[in-house]
Amino acid sequence: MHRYNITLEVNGIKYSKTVDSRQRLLDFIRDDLRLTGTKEACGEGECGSCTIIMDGEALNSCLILAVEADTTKITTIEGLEINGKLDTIQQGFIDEHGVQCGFCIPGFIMTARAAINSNPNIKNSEIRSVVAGNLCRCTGYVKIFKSIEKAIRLERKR
Amino acid sequence: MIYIKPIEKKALLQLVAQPSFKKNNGQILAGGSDLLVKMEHFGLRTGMIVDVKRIKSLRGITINDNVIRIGSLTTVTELLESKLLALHAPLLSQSADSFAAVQIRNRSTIGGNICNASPAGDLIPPLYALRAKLKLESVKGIRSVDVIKFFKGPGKTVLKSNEILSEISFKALLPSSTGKFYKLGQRESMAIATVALAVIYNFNKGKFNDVRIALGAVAPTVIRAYRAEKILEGSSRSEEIVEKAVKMAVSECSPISDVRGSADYRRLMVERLLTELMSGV
Repeated sequence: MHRYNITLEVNGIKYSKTVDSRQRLLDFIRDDLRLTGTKEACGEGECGSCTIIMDGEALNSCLILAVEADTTKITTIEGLEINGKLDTIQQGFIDEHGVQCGFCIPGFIMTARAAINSNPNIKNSEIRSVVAGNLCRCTGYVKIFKSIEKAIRLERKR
Repeated sequence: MIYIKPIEKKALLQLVAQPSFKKNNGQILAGGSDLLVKMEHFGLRTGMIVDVKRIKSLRGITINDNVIRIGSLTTVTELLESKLLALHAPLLSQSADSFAAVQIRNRSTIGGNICNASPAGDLIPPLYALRAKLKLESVKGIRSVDVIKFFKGPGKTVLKSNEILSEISFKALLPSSTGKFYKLGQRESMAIATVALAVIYNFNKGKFNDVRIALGAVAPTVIRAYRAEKILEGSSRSEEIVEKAVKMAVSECSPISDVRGSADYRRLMVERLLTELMSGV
């Protein structure tokens, strides 16, 4: 067992923790920080359920070691709501009834959030390719696309 | 498992030269999209991880004297967003565009895609067609290897355990050249190639000139269809000559049947898709 100290910021809170070198970032977030909104489904980068935003980029947290996240800034689904106000993408999913079983939704929301952050002028036609790395086993894709379209409209009003 | 994160290339080269790196079955960690899957799902055992992501000198895309140089740690997103590549090596941009999805592209590196040595590696066929050279470095020195001589089989390369791939370089395409990439997968995104094709050609007085055809996922390594290229070289474009060359290219493939497609299907797809790419449609 090799353990390493890491210091990182998750949802605006600074943490200094000791992690095993084999621990995945996904497990660190879920088990050590108890932030269980980030989900695991495939565990091999196919499904996007574990998507987080690290230093501005959407990434699969199942393919990153916790030690690799030293000195980074991470946002998880729990970090989107600020002072009781939902993120526009969360609101879009509520307004458009974009959630079925819900397991994939945190991943979709984080992927969409990173894309809109880096390009606020994103077009509706680009949404499909943006979330191409996220799978929904309920196959509710049309509602998911509509939810993100709604979020983009909400964002422009703000 | 020991985890080390060198910040200089020199320190990295010294690390991988140590006997403990080999003894621990040390692994280089770049984007991790292949390595973590191997560790978690395919039983790869390692006692040492060397994380190379902090080494800034191994990252970036430059052009000098018409030679494009790409640092091995350049991410697929960086390839995709590079205006330099869009202009001078569009087939490499196209393969970056068809590479997995944004979460993987943000992390995965060109060096990782090469060193993982998958016969279906997305970035490899364009690099074959571009006749890329790979710079391999160790504490003992630097050697340059043609990309086509780098691969020995699925997952196998000539890279020694004390060496790292530091840079990929190739000549910019002539403005008059055509460069195309096409990947056939089971869906548009996230697919591992069933067949991948990269072609470059030019015309000189109406005749095919400087033809290069690379085929992925149809042999133990990506291949160049040299005999097909020879048929086209110096000929005018006609249905007959393209058909003859395509038939030859198919005969140069040695595909296997797997979950993504049968060997016969792969040959048929090479035939159809290469015909389209070479017919200028």
